[in-house]
Amino acid sequence: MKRTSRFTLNGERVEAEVEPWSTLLEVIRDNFDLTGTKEGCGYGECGTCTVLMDRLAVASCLVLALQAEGKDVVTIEGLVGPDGELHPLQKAFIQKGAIQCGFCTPGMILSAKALLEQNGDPTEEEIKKAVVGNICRCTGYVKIIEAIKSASRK
Amino acid sequence: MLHFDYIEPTTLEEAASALSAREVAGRIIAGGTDVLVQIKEQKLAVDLLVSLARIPGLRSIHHDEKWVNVGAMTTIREIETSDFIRQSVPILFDAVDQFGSVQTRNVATLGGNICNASPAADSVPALLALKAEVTYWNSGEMKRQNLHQFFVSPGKTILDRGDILASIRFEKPRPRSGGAYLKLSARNGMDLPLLSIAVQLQMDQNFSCCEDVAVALGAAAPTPIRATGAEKILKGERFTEEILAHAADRASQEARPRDDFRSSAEYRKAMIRNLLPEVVKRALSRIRQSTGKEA
Repeated sequence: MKRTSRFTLNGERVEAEVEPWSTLLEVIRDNFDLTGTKEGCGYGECGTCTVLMDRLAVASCLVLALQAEGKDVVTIEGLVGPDGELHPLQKAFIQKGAIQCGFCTPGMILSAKALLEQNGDPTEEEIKKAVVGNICRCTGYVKIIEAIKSASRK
Repeated sequence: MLHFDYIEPTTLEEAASALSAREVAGRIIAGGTDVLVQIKEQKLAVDLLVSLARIPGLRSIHHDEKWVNVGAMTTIREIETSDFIRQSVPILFDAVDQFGSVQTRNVATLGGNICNASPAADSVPALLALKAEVTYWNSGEMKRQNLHQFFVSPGKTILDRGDILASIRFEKPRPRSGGAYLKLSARNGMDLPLLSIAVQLQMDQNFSCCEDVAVALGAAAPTPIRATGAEKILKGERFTEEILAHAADRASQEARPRDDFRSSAEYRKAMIRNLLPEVVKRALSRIRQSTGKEA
């Protein structure tokens, strides 16, 4: 039987008709057409489904849509400014060449955003720890870490 | 595919009653990072997930003169970012610091980690070394149990359907004590340990020998265990290389690890022998740092 989950999505209050077993990932992609958040593994191990929930990075494939009730959810689409300007992290990733196929990128950027909100000037070790749950098959991570470091100085 | 109902009761009685209902296969969902994976992997079939998220009083870190009390629904991240835990109970900080990833820690709970009862659970050896007790709801009242008598077999605790872990407590580490938790794993994150060792020890007044010690091992037996034989060797003694080696050897004999995809039993036993002295030394160095004394 369908239930309703009410939460804030990228600053807007929304309602979604969901099954009890629907994950937040499914609802973001299927109910709201926000496909920047990806399903890489479905088991919370790859980080491509990372979103911010009450400012904390979480694996949305392991959060039930009903668990998001009342929470503040931010996806990669929520980082763009009202006038379409990219977030400093997005600009840094582009400038540093930290994107190849782009599949890990939304999750990486959101993990980095959560880190920088907690710690505006992280060390390289702290950056690595923050993205340990985000796997990248393409870049070898060096540029990603450089991008996050460069965004942190702004 | 996935197919279950989901409720968020607001009292332990409501939750326990929903879980005990005979016709409905109900399971607790705390954070969900274990139970949802198990359901997706079809290792667990449930009709109903009973969330504890809206039951008040289960999510906090309190301490007084004697005890540290952690609510079962406290997230691993909350423990990791607690200044009190990092400064006063560093052995537990070690355990949560290397737990999964940030995404996991933000959602996973201490109670969930304990009740999932993986032999390799990160939080458990540290809590065993702290001689922790758990409090759980059973048949309408709160009961208490020592954590080292809580685990039955891989994935199984003494809890029955309808029982709910409420909190975990341990005595605040005394003066002249220190601890450390070491996790041996292939990656620096996102990996269960292939072996883990936790040591909490207290020096005597002269800082010359061991007044009290607890050693716990993870991923070294069907459940996390205390290495009580190793403890007997260390207690009352000075920390010489000889005694450390003797204790480490004993601990490796007490362990009952198996071969699995992470490692072999032989390697695990060898690593206990090699690494227990190292963990003891880390604990000693923390005592040195916090007291300024040569331990």
